[in-house]
Amino acid sequence: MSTGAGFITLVAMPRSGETFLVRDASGTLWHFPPAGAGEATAVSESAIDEAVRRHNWDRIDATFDTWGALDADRQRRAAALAPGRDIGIVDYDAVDVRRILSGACARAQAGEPGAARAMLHRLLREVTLVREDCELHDEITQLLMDLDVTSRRPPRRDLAGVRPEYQELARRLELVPA
Amino acid sequence: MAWAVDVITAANTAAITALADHLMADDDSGTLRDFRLLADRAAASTNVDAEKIRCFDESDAILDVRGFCTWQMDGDRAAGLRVFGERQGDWLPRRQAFEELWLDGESFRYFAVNAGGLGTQGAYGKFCLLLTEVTERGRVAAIFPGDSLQRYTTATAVDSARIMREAAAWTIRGSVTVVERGPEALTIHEAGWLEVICRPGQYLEAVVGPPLPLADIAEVRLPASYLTQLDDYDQRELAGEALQEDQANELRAFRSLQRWRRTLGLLITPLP
Repeated sequence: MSTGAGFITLVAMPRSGETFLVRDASGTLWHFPPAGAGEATAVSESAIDEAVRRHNWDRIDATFDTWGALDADRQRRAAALAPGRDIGIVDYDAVDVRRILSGACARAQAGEPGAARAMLHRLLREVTLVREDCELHDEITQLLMDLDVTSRRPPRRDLAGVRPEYQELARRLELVPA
Repeated sequence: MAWAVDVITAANTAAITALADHLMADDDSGTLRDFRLLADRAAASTNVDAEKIRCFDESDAILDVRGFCTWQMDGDRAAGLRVFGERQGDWLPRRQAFEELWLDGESFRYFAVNAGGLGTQGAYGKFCLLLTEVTERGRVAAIFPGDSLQRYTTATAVDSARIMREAAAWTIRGSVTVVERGPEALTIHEAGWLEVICRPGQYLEAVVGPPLPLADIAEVRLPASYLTQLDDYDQRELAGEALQEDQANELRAFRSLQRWRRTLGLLITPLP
């Protein structure tokens, strides 16, 4: 990190770091929203005042030679909020559990059985509701067993890669997506 | 002598309501009547980032700005006020001049009148918190036709006469909205009325006094794509994947929201 004439400047950000203002080498000021919440947009200088005065972002003004260096510094600053940050899932309710189960199934279908298994094990181990609700516990256990069976199968192939005379058989044996 | 919010706003209620009624009487189309119905149901909203969600979660309350800065400085009030002053910069005297007009003005929380949508300041905070029962628990509240500091203060003066004339009770927000935004509403299809009332750079400001416990936040709205992203962080953490530091802060905010939903009945509403 340098503090003199560099290429890009981290101008301001909240301490959580998910959104920030950056000035590029041409002097243009950019607002970066959190990932998943839109694209970076060029903004006017008044955005700095708005962010710092009204929304209590930290004014930073640190200049970097590369985007990677800027991002590393942003992450370093965001890490300052880490103490006490982790709140667990022990009190997740049925809505939360269903949301996670849905995600786990999606990951299993997307070819990430390890991730799905890890999610299900966390539910079993940590969520009070799952430990106390026999039906829910059994459902998750069954999902884990299904995952184990699926994982022992040969890897699925695209139907297009199967010779036409074997496609029906491949479907019945669930060697290709339904 | 400092003003009491409810006294000043009550004194303006009859005049503002009469003006709105006059405008609606002149509108044979009934458009302004419908517009006021929409504004009558408006909530007060504030856009916040993941850090403020954490602050409010740990404080079990929506803090005023000095309280937030103090929280950032681990409870050191003097240090918090110093940070607050640095951030306000040239605007500090303007803010102080506005606040000093009112009894307990330093405790004001600043909101926008929001009849739907993601609020005015989404660029600076994707979590749009909504307060629907604004005057519960004996809270005082006033609304102004625009940003109070920009509308009423300069570097050297505060237009107290104008403030006294325009400060309105929360209960007549519909009338205030008709008076201030009615002419624009008449030129725009009703599908665009939410933005007539509340959009970046143009909104009616609400100031709300304490107490403001977390339990009084009725809803949080956020972009649907962002809610999906936060859900993904939750799943990735459960799957044992390492998150970046900013993502971990966002996940913390997401889990706080989910806890507020479970324990306080908060609605989590994704919007396009």
